[in-house]
Amino acid sequence: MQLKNMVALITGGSQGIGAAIAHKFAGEGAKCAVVASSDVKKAEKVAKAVKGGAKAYAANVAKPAEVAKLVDQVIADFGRIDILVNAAGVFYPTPAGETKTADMNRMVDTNLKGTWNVVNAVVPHMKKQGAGNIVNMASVAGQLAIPAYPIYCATKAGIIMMTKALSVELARAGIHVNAIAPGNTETPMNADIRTDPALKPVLDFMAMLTPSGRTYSTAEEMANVALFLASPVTGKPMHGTVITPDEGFSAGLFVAS
Amino acid sequence: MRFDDRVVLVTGGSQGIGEAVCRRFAAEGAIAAVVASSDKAKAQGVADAIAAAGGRASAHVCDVADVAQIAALVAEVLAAHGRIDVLVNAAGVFYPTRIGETDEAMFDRMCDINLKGAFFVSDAVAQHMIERGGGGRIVNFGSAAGVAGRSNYIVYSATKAGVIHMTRSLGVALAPHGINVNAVAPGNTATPMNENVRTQPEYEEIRQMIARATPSRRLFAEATEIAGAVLFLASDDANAMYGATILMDEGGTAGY
Repeated sequence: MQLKNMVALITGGSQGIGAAIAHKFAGEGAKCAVVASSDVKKAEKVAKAVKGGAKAYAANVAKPAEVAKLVDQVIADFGRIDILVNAAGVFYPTPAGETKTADMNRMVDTNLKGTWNVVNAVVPHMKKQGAGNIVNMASVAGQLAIPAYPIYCATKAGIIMMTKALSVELARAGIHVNAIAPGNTETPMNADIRTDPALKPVLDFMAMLTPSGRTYSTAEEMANVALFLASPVTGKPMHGTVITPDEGFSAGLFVAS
Repeated sequence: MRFDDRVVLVTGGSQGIGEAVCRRFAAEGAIAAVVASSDKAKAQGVADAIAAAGGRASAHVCDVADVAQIAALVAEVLAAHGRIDVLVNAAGVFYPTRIGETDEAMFDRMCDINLKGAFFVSDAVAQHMIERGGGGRIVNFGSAAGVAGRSNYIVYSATKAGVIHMTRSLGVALAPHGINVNAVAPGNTATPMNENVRTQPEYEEIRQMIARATPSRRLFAEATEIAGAVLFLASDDANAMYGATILMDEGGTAGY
């Protein structure tokens, strides 16, 4: 029980990697505040399924006022926030010349500003506690460019540098800030690529570029990495670290033989 | 336990971080093949301590700069334990190589042990793992000095950058065989190598310098914490990781 009685706030907790993290952390003794972007019922489903008195919330991380309300409510319910996992995010193509300003704004607002909004609201509590651990979800696409996703890549690269800058700002306050840069991971966000016959060329392209032969990692494997970063048992020396569990995708040129 | 009956070969296992790695693997059920660079008694001391704590370990000696000795080491470990599931390349040397103060022998020794040694031990063990067909794990030691430069440790930082990058290439080369190759890049870590820096009054100025360059409140991580990252990379929790490096440096290279 590495997280016994610790309180973990998990945005994007109602599905995919965020939900897997809620399961993993609760299994290690944490009390989880599971946050959905808009549909609290989705968060309730996850909160009911995990152990240890998890609670469900809904907040659009792009809206600072909603985030402030969320954090106040979580503090009222649990008394503290030991771990923040910023897993809320959106993923869709934004090809140059074919992308509406609204789609670009929604991605920046959710992925980059959203991560910041929650950090900004939670850090005062962590400073008061003299301790805290923040895990941001970046992406291998924040380190390696993929065509047709320029805004997604930019927001994730932004999260990586924001993680490093926050880590040097907050380390003396006892707050760890680190990130995970997952490669292709099986979640509802990319169900289309994995199942839609029209997107088979994209799937084949990913398979060709994946050294391990596992084109998609599992969400649970990302949760294992999140636990490694967030746990006081293993995470102590890490500030500003980015861990890349990506099946070798970004390590270098690979030609499937 | 996580590593029940796994055979773990650890070069540089007779002291410092490598020793902590051996002890932690053994505590979680593994058989540790502890390798010292030249003094078998040192490796035997670690193996005896592990046995006294109820674990299993064997002692070996190998200068990883000597490729012929590597073949003999791998043969010896296979004869003793039948297989190698995990290789940890923790052997390495650390000394200043400043401009105007570094001769060719100092340069060659550093490269031979830190970079060439890590490659040829990996090469020998990977061939065994491929033949066996059951996959495997290799964990290399980079360093925060392999990510950011060091004015007094020019060659050391170059060898560690080399190890980090070699880990990427080995990662993609061995991934199709189910062999995960990854690295840990520690920052300042409390080991016998720097006991003087941590404790002696004449090093106060250096300690203040380290403090200025360390965002966290801890100037030195514990060897056992760095070992924790090695065990993580060797465990099923790191199934998705190939060619990656985990920085454990108290924020030292994230920025200013």
